Amino acid sequence: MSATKPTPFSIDIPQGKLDAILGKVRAYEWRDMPEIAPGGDRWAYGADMDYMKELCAWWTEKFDWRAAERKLNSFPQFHAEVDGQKIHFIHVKGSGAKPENLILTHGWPGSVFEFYDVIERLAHPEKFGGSAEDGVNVVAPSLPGYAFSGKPRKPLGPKATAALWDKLMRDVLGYDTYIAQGGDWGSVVSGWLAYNHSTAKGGGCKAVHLNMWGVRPSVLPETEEEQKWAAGAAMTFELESAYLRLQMTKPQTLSYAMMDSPVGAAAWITEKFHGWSDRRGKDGKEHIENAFTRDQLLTNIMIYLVTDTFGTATWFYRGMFEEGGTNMAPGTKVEIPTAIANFPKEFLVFPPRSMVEKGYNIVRWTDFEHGGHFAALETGEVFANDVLAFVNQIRG
Amino acid sequence: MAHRIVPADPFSIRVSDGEIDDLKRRLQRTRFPNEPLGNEHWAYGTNLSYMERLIEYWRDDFDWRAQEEKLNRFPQYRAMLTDDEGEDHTIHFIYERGSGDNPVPLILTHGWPSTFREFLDVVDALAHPEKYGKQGPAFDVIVPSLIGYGFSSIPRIPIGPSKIADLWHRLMTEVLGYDRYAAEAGDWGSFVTSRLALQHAESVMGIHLTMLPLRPHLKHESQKPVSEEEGHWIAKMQRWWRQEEGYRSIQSTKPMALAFALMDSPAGLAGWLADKYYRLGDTDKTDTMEGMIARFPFDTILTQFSIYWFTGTINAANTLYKAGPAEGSALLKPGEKVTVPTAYSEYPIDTLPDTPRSWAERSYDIVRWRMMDRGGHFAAMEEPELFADDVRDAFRDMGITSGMAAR
Repeated sequence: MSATKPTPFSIDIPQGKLDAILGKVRAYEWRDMPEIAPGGDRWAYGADMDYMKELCAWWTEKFDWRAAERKLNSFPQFHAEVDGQKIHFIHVKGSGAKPENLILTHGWPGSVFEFYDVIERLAHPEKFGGSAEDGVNVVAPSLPGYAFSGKPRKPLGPKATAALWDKLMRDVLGYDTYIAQGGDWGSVVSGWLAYNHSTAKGGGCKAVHLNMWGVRPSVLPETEEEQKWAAGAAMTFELESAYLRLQMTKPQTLSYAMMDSPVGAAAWITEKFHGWSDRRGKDGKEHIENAFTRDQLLTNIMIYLVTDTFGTATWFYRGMFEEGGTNMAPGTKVEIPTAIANFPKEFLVFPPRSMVEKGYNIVRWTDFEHGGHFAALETGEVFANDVLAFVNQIRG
Repeated sequence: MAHRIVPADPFSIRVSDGEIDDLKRRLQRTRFPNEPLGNEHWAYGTNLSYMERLIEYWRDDFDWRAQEEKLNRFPQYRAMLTDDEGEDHTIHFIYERGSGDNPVPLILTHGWPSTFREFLDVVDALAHPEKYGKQGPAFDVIVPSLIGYGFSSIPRIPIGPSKIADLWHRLMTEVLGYDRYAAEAGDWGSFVTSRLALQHAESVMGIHLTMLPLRPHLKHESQKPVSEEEGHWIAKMQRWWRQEEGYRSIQSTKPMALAFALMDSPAGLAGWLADKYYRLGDTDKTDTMEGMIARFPFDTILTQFSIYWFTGTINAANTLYKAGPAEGSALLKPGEKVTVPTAYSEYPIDTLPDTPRSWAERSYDIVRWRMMDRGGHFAAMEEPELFADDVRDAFRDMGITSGMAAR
């Protein structure tokens, strides 16, 4: 068990790699797909082919990976080895004189790119009309098997990742205490940081900010409101969980296709960005581009493709399964201060506060009017302000 | 006596040189995934070493023309039928006339991830038992490609087993001119065949199934309470499905999240399908590589995959998992039951092993029940002789013999 010093890193993908990917995108043959029933949702069966065509045209004609790469390299990045896992992370020192430390964890099918619009706001709020004193040290790692982190030899799950993160913060970066933030897998990793690596338990996590319902207390829904939530959540799970069941049981069976077909991987990922985001537009219509630009979607997709990590990223689901799921031991809860950021179009809807409180020491609960699963990317300013407000609340 | 009112056009398969070259080019530039430690027994899905050998063979050694010639040895036809909603469906089928006077017309229906190729090695033995020193009956053998599969047409909107069964009935009566016929199937074919027996009982002499897809309406008063044996079996089946249902789950909810990749990557298509052959085939699981290759020779399994690839039907095939459940045709209505005599032969490696007979009898008129000692989900490919003998014996046991189905 060990941790190495960070070594600086910046992204520079060989041109040949980009050419190979773009070559396959250009050569993609669009075949007939079944018609959706009249009046039906064009995304009802998965990804909408018309939109995929538009996105791929943009990909080959307008999208500029080198510009995306410059943006990704605009924050200092590092590699460090923690317990034998090579971890990639962004590390930006905050403006504050005695800054708090914040670790932001992304999920699937996202990446650290989700945080690019909030890092500066969190580290240097004075640039956005805030106070320099509030600026925090921001650390945003890529999950094991994702993007520029190393590929584990076998699946690792969120619980194991939380243990790596605690060492990354304390042993590699020397931050004795920190606040964890996350959505999607990030909410599960952050939940385990709060549960297993809290300051009370000898770790460094002193508070947690969650924008998804990840690590859960072992309790059953009790009130009528809780039961209603449980029924709705079960319905959503039935319709939306196929990717999860597959990635949790047979990631390899899926990976041959997704590793070999850039357009295929793009469709698999885009379907999720579409389904889980707040697509409501000012005109009252819904469109994926009300939530993300094409360049944003493609930058995130390309991070999977240029690093050949589609397969190893899906292993995380299997890793969660193998390490025993996401439930706390019966009768236990997260004791450190917890903030819940409840975005309206999050597809995994939070239970009623009464139920969340059985698992967490809630000190802040914010219901937002806009935003979805990828809140930091969808509504960065609102997201960053809520995190900063929570940090201030913790500082007292 | 039915009249043949719809013509069938002779058909043979001819994939263009350009399509073959394109396949090889795609295989040439395959990008493989990493593999987690501990996947020797396919615990995380399709094994990488197997895939590397399979794809190398497909790229360098597989001779599609030789396989195509083999497929074309049997007479094939295509016939067009218009359904109630006005949509035209083209049905591709093998039609091998049996020996002797009035052979028993038998329609054999494949499933997913298979094609009509599944039955290729039993067509001759079923049509001409005397050539193999076997007792009859001899069959007129009809092997269609499911709608949306192989060389049949792709439906505009996916259709399920009940609608396909109606088309099969019309194929047998309006196209081929039979009044009465028999049917055999496993997997999705067993859904179609069960619906055929329910919807066209007067025409179906008997059915032989290797899978029992219909579910009884347990709450209906006619149903006995679930027995202990049935309860155990149901629980075991549910546990098995939790591990195996990923493919079904995605194909039944979001087939078009998957389709873009499978239509683009032949290696991806093979990786997606090979898992099922490993899991459901009676392969030697001690030496997983050699066991898989021995059970499903590269030429055989790649012919299956090549049919999906060249016809561009993988997405249409997958959407049967959406159309099937949407149709709700696997759940019997209260009091409903298959009245056509049913023979069930269970191969030891399959989706629902050790089915209690009492469970089957809730939904079918079971007149013959066999537990086979070897073979799996793709029995006609895996154990062709055993399979053909069993089918012949079953229909003879049911009293269905040559000469019964007057034309």
